Amino acid sequence: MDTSINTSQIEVEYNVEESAQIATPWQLMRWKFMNHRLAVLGLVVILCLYLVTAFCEFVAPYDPSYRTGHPLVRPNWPKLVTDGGFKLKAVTYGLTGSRDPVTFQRVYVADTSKEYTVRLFVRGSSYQLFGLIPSDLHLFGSPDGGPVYLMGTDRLGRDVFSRVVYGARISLSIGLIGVLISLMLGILLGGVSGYFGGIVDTIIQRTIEIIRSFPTIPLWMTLSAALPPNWSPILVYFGITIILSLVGWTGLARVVRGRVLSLRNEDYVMAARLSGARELRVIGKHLTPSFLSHIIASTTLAIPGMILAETSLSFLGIGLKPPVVSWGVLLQDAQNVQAVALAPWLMLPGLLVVVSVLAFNFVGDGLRDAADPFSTTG
Amino acid sequence: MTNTDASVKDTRQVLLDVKGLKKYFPIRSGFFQKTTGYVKAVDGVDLFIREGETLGLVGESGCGKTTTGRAILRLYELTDGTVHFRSESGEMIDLSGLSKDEMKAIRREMQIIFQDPFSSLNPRMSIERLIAEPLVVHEIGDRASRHKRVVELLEAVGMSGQVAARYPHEFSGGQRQRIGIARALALNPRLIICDEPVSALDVSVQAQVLNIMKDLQEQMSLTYMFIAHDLSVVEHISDRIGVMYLGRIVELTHSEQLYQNPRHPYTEALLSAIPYADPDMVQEEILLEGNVPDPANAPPGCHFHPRCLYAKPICSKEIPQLVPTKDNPEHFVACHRAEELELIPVQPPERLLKQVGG
Repeated sequence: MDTSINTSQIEVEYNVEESAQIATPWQLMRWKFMNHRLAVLGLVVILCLYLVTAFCEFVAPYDPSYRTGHPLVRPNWPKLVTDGGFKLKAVTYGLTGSRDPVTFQRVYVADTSKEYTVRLFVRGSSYQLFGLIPSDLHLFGSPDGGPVYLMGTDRLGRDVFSRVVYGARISLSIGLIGVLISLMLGILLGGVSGYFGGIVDTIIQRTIEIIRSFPTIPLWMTLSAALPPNWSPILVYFGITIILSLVGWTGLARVVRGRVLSLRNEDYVMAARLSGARELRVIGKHLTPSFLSHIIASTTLAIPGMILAETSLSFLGIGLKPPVVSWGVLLQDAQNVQAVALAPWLMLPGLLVVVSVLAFNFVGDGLRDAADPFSTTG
Repeated sequence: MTNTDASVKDTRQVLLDVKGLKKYFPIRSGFFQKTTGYVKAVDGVDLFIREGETLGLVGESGCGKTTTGRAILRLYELTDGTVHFRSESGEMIDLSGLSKDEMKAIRREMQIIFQDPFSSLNPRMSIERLIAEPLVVHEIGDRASRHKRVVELLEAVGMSGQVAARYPHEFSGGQRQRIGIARALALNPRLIICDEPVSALDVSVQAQVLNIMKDLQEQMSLTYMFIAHDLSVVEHISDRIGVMYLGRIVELTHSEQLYQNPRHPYTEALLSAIPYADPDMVQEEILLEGNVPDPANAPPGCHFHPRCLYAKPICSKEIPQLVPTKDNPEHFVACHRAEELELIPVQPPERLLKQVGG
C-alpha cells in the first residue's frame, strides 16, 4: 500500500482557487447585514436620531422651557404660498386664541393679516453648542417670531417638538450609558463565571436568578425612591442609569457566560495554551473575538429595554422629574383622558419611543443574524 | 522503519518515560459540589518512547488514550505518577514538578495534533496568524522571518505558501489537519502527540496525511506518540504499539510482535475484529460480551476479567503488573496467564494487503 503522494498535484489544486478574493469574517458579516433591509432602515433611523441629539440646540426652534404664550396649540405647520409671482415661500400666520362658548375649549384662529416667513437656517435664541461654541443659528424657524409648532404646544405653551428633540438627548443616551454599564458588569461577571466555573459560577448564576425573579417595576420603584430627593437632576439621571443597569446586566452576563463556557474547552483554546499563551492572551485573542459579534448584537437588543424602562419610570413619576426633559417626562402630560381627548398631539413623544425602540430591535435582529455564521437568511 | 527482529535490543535513547501515570476526574454532585467519587480515566500507565520512534496507543473510546496524551503534556494536572522528558542537553526532566514558566519553555519541545481539524483551528484567525502564534508567544523572530517560516511550514505539509492569508473555513478536513500539523511543527518540537489525527478524515485522505507525517518524521527526526482506535492505521505508522483498556496499558510491544504473537486476551479480541478486504477469508471473530465497565466503578483485579474468556479466580483479586515476557524483554504484558495462554495471531493488515495484491 504505497500511497506516497505527489506534492505537485496538491499545488495545482490551489492555483485554481488562488485567483478568487477571500472575504474576512467581518466583511461577510457586513454583507449579510446589508441584505437585511429592515435592519439597514433601522440603522439609518438610529443614526438620524443620534445626529439630532448631538445637535439638538440647532435642530430645535425653541428653548425647551420657553413659553410661547400659546398653550395647547394643535400642530401648526408652515404653509407654502406663492409670492404673487412664481416664487414659493413658507409662511405661518399669527394666532388669536379664544374660548369656545359651548365647550369652553381653547381654540385658535389663524390671523392671515399677520404673515411671518419661515426659512431654513435662521438666527434665533442664542445657545452654546456642546457647551463651548456660542451660536444662535437654528435649522428652521421664523426670523420675525412667527409661531412654528410642528408638534403643537403643551399646557404651558411650550413647543412640543423642541421638547421632544431635547428629550431625545436624555432618553437615547440613558439607553447607551445604561447598556455600557450593564455590558461591563455582564462581561466581567459572566466571563468570570464561565471561565472559572465551580463555586464562583454557582454563586453568580444563583444571584442572577434572584435578580431576574424580582418583578422589575416594584424593584425600580424601591430603588429610585431610595435616591435622595435633594439630588440635582444630573445626579438623578446617573442614579436612574445605574438602577437600570443593575437589573439589565444579568441578561448580558448569561450570554457571555454561555459563550465562554462553550469556547473554553475548544481544541483551539487548548492549542493556544499549549503553545505557551497566557490566560490573558487566550481570553483576549481567542475567546473574545469569537463572541464579540454576539455581544454587539445582544447589546443592541438590550438598548430598547433601557429606553422603555426610563420612559416607564418617568411616566410613573418616579424616574426623571421636570424640569429635566425626557420622553417619559413628556408623556406624563398625556396621562389623563382630557389630554388624550383634547390635545392628542401630547402623545407624539410616545410615537418616537416606538420608532426608536423598533429601529434598535431591527438593527439588533440584523446584527444577530449577521453574526451567526450558520444562518441562511439574507 | 519497523524493527523486524524483535529480539534485538533497541539502542536509541529514551525520550519520554512515563511511570505510574494516574489522572482521576472528581465527580461532583449536589448544591455544594461535593466530590462523591472519581472517574479513573488513567489508572497507572507505564510507557516509554525512544527518540525517533513512533509509539501507537490503541484502545476503545473512553479507555483513557486521549487523557494519557494530554496528561503527558500537562494539559491536565496529574493525580499521580511521573513524566520524564529528555531535554536537549540530555538530562531527564520530571515534568510533574515544573513551574508554569519552566513548563512554557519545555512545551517548545512537545506539541499536539488534535483529532478534530474543525475545532482545533480558531475560525477567526488567518492561517498565517494560526501557524505563527507559537512563534509570537515565544517571541521568536520578527514579522518577516515569521512569515518566511509560515510559508516554509505550509510547504513542508504539501500546501502552497499563498494560502497563508486565508481562513480555516475555506479548507477541507484533510487540508485543515495539515495546517494543524504545520502549527505543531512551528517551534521545531521533538515530540508530537498525535491524538487520533486521521480518525475524522475520509479514508482517501487518511493515507495522504499519514504519509506526510511519516515523511516529516524522517526529515525532522520527530518522535510521535500516535493515539488511535483503528489498528490498521496504527500498524501503518507505528514502531511499537501499546494497547489500552480502561485506564491501563495491557500490552506493549513491537507492531509485528503484537499481531503475530499477542499475549493478552484483550489484544487477541481486538485483532480478531480487524476487517479484511478479502471475501474468501474465513475469520474467527472473538466476540466479547458486555460493555467496557464504568471507569468510575472499575472491577477489582484485572480490569478486563469480567469479559475475559480465560479468566481465573486470581484475575478478579490481583492487579496484573505490566512486565516483560520471558522470551522477549521488549514485549510487555499485564496478564496473570500471559505465559500459559495460546492466543490466535493475525497477519498485520498491511502485509495482508500486499499478499492479496491490493
